[in-house]
Amino acid sequence: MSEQEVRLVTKVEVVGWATPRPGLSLDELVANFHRDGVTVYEVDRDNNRVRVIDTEES
Amino acid sequence: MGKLLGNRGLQVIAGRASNTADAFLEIDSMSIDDSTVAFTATDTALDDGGAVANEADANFDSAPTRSAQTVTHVATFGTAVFVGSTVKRIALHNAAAASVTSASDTWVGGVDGQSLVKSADYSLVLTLKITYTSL
Repeated sequence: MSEQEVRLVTKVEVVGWATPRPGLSLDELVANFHRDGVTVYEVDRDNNRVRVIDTEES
Repeated sequence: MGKLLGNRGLQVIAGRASNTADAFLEIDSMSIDDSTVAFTATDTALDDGGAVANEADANFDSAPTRSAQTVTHVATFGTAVFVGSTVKRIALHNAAAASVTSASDTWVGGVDGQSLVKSADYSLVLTLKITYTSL
């Protein structure tokens, strides 16, 4: 009897978007991230948010 | 950077998929913590590799969704959460957030090796996707 091995592969990825608190503009938040050395992957002005975690790109 | 599901996490998924008698709870929440210890396949709790100084957890914003073989989990960590701590690891748990601690045997899987200082200047929405592939 022949046996066939089937492998289940799982991939885990995380994306994190930061939204500024009331009273803080998106540009101010981006400036803060740059000041703190945080990698900014994308600035999404339509949705007022910044992508700061991306395990596929990092 | 490690990105994985642990053995216990795979047991949770296998048991739920086939409705085994183990009665595992479903994956219900996400955590962030500032441990620099990499996750390993044998982990069952966040502090298995060493004490976790700071940890926060949240229930999903809404029920997870599936597209083909990818399941998406979304959780928000608000402006007042985890302030002054650095997000280094992100994880899924098969328990509600109220039951999740750094010592609870609820860890399913996650990613490590991140470095994002959480401040009160922003809320953080994390999307964690698991894709299953059969080879």
